[in-house]
Amino acid sequence: MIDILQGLALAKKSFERDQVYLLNHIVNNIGSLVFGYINVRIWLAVLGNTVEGMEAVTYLMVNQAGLWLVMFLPYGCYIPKKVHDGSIAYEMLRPYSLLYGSFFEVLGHIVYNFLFRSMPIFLFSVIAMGVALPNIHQILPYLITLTNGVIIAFLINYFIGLWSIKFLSINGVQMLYYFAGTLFSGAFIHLQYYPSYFKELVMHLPFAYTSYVPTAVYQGQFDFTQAFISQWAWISLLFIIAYFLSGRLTKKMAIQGG
Amino acid sequence: MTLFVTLFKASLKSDAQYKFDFVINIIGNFLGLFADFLIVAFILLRFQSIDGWELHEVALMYAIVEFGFGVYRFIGDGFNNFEQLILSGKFDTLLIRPAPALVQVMLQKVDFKRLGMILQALAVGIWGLSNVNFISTTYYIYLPILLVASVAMNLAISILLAAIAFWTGKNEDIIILGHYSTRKAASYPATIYHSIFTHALTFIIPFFTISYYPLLYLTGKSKQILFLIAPIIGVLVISFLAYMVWNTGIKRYSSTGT
Repeated sequence: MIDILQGLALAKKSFERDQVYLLNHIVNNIGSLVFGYINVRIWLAVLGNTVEGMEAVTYLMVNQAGLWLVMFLPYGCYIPKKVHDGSIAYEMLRPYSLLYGSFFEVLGHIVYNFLFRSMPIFLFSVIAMGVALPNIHQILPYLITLTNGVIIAFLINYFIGLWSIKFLSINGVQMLYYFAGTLFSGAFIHLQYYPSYFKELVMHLPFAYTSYVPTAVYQGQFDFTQAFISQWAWISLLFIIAYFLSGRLTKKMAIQGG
Repeated sequence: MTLFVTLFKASLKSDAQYKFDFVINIIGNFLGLFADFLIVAFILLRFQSIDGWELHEVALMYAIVEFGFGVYRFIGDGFNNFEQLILSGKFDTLLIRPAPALVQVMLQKVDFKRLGMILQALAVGIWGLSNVNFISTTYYIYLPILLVASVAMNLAISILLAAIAFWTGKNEDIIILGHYSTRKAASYPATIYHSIFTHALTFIIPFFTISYYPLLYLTGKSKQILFLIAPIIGVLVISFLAYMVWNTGIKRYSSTGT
């Protein structure tokens, strides 16, 4: 019987694995802040030190902190690594599915990132860069939509993992994901600055629901109910595809192994 | 040179073996970084200029930096993954071979998928060039020099940062901070940043000497002729520094051996 405890044990293990490299991650956080700083300076150069400019700073830095939860997830949810070293065969013997195992393994990583990457970057941005705190009524809606965004991001990354089962190498598809994430998620540009036809297109793709929508909820610019419903529509759709694709691909892999 | 040709052929053969993957890789590498530029293009289409720099001029600045980065990843990917050589102990075997370790690390593999990066930089650069109004025949002689300087700059920075692994073991995060973030910063005019940051990119990791300063002169924003030789000074200084740090690192590394 699969229960949540097995999953949490997996999550705990990946959390502890990340902890070993805390010092590296501190250096990495400084790198992330520099990237955020560059984007902020570009926007301040065009918008000036105005209300609109400072809103852009808040928008960019909240997203920069959130990147560690919705964009920089382990490549293909650790699956490509397992395909590469052959340990994917053992995954098939486990009492839970690949999708279930991957979710909790990534969850541990995300909890780690939230505590040691997102929070420090966010707090620094508030203290040193003038990032505005959310209205108290927006905190919970933000955290809920961010969590939904994390699930969507997990499912997209999981597809990259499945890709590695079929095609082995993920470098190219990982870059395509980076392209789509950069351009369509709104993590580096508020969607209001896109031409309207382009924004329309972007809102019909899942990426905006990982970055733009949660941050717009944070800033009180997006209706929470609408955000929640759209996000869960995406989660349901992506989950169904992931569920069926997993079944097909892992069955094929078993034949190869036999 | 023979060594390089042999390696070149072997790498191409191994990469082209899986055609579908090869094509996806090239496309992924083309689009992956291009997204960063598209964001800036969207900003500039709306706001016309960043601190007096028009879109086509920023495109040129971006293309020079990215071209050097693409070529470096094409021929010098060994430096990017140097920590793996150190952590796995494979670096020891390079030291007992007759060729210099530096050359051997560089020639670990010619990474053909990076052609996509080079192509996107060239595409953006040619588009930028064909739309700027400052260009004259003399500049056509100077611009290739800038591209070569950019390759040399990227290589030297990567060697400098790779050498840090002799002391720290892992250095992936230092590379992101010292190379990736500074490279992104160098794609935009220096005036948008705080002066400390500008000084760091002029005197410590001198990326601005191959992008901002020469273009400042070429676009007629400054009459300071020194800016035209800035790339040569920048490359010479950083190369010397990289060479010194690398040699010190190797000496330290061998003395801690068995």
